[in-house]
Amino acid sequence: MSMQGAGTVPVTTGPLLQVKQLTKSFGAVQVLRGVSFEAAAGEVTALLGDNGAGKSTLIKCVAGTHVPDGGQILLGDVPQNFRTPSDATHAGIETVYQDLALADNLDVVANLFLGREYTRTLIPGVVRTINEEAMELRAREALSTLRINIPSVRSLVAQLSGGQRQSIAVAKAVLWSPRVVILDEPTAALGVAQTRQVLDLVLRLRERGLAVIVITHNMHDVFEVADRASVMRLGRRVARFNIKEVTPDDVVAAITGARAFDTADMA
Amino acid sequence: MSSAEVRQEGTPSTGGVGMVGEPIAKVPGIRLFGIPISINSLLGTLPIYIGLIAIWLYFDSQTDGKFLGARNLSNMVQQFSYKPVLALGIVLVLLLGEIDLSVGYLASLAVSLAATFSVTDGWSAGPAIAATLVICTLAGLVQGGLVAWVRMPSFVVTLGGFLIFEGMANHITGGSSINVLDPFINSLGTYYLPDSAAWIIGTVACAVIVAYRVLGRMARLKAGVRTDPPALFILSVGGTVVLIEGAIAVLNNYIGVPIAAVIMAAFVMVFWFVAKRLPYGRHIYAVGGNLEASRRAGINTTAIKWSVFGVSGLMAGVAGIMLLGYQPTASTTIVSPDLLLDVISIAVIGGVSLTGGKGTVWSVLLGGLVIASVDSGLNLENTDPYLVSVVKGSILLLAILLDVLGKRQFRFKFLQR
Repeated sequence: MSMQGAGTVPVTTGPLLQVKQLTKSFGAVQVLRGVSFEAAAGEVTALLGDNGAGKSTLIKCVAGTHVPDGGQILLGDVPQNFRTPSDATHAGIETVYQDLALADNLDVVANLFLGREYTRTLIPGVVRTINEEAMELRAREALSTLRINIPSVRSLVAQLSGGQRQSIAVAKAVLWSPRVVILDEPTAALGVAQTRQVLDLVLRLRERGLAVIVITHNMHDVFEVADRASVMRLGRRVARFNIKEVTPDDVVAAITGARAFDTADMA
Repeated sequence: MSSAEVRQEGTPSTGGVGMVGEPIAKVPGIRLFGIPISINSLLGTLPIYIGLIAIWLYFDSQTDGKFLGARNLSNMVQQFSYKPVLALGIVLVLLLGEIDLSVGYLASLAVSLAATFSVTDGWSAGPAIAATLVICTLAGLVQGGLVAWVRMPSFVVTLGGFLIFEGMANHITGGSSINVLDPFINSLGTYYLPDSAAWIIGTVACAVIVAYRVLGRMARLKAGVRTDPPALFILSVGGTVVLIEGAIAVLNNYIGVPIAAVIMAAFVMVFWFVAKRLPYGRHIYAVGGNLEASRRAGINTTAIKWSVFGVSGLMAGVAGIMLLGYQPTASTTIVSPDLLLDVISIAVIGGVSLTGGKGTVWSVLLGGLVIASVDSGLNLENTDPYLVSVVKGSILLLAILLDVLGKRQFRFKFLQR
């Protein structure tokens, strides 16, 4: 059993994303009570906790969907002040939500570039048309780099399997070269083979040097891909682990609160 | 890192390098020139073509060959071109997953407005038409605003519009008819292009289409992205040219190509371009497919919805003016109460789904042909007008049935807010 306090983590590269003492209330309900969290480049960090622990609220603050009441978000040691999701996107933080946010009626290329289509000028200053060739080439290159296998980049997303859809959603996030990728329950609705497929993809994002944050309830996934884990309970972080040094039982105990960990420096 | 390629269509694979594979769900269907055609799309359009041919053969036999004669075909185009034009607006609205029930009576209001401006106020054609189009667009934008910003269900908003515009159309004309004598407005419904002009315009249009398609194909080949097999490409481009020139030949055989047909064709081309080639059109499909995904992708979904209702209003104005040109006696009786049903039928028969995100603007041509044929045939047969409604209602139900069978999931988004 090895627990490390915030100050004693052996830092090799320094965490790319640092969240410090974040607070957030909705009316009378205080959802985040001064939570801290960090994710390093080239590592997969699992964010764990029971329902209502505040994981989603924390992630939405980092993604710019919610504006925190207090605390700090630092990206590469630079304080950030996200007011909208596009602020976070511009800073290099992409989020893949559980419901994937893909348009079933469009093909893979259209989905990857949705809202950010490549265009070419037809009538200067007036009409810009969609540049399908450039988008298709870029899409094929991106999917090939991530080793995502689909029948065709022109397949409708509705025709893809759950694992393929999840992979496309991840590729859509990675297409714009972010520094941090947040995955919300990426394997929740998937079968065994498809889960494997998505976890492999998570590892490939790590290889590319991204800071990957995975929210999950699945202990198997945590021990399969995560390097570190932070556990939240009632709006605070109650434990953080180096996954190689703990057992699933330790992590579950932290999530359920069955065992109290030293949280003095946990904030 | 080993290379893994994105597989091309038609090579079902069981997984790529470094990845646990899974069988790709195969869509049942057949292949035509190497292009897989799914059962669903066959189910969607094949019965329509068969039905159209059946309708033609039936009416032709019932009318001793009059129905498929050049004279009747020409009248059909002259008389009914305004319906596909009106349907263009509805198609965009349906692609959003919304509905606009007001377009029929908004077209009626446009008839009353244009006639009043032209006759009662003595305006010339230009200002009368412009003012009518502006008012109709604003009417669409007001409804669109309630849907997009206030988030009222479009079904209810446009049902209100349906009543309001009907009342206004009757109120403006006072229930009496106004004879429009303006030569320009009349020409919109009565003018035929001289044969030579029709050939020149048709041939230029074909040349533009062929050049656009060939240049597009060359760009795709140069970029190395997947292109249609040559046979399919030639069939599709050649087919378009044959259809256009063939239609001109048939119509020239009677009096000529009605200007209304040219107006309709021009609008269809513009709408196709907007829907398929501009990011705006792509975003309309995206909003209809997944509203939340579109919003997260940074698309201004509110503005898209708002503007599409404005376009729908504009097309109601255009259709109303085209109708006024054909029947220059403006009274609210020239707009049939069935008009709304007709344009929704046109869109659905052409393959536009009521659940949003599925269909193309070409659908107005196929659907328009079916509805115009039924109208014209029943008219030639002197069918009881009450039975005409029965027939048209049945056709709409049949078309929606095909849509349901093609999709199986059937949800009206505009009823669930």
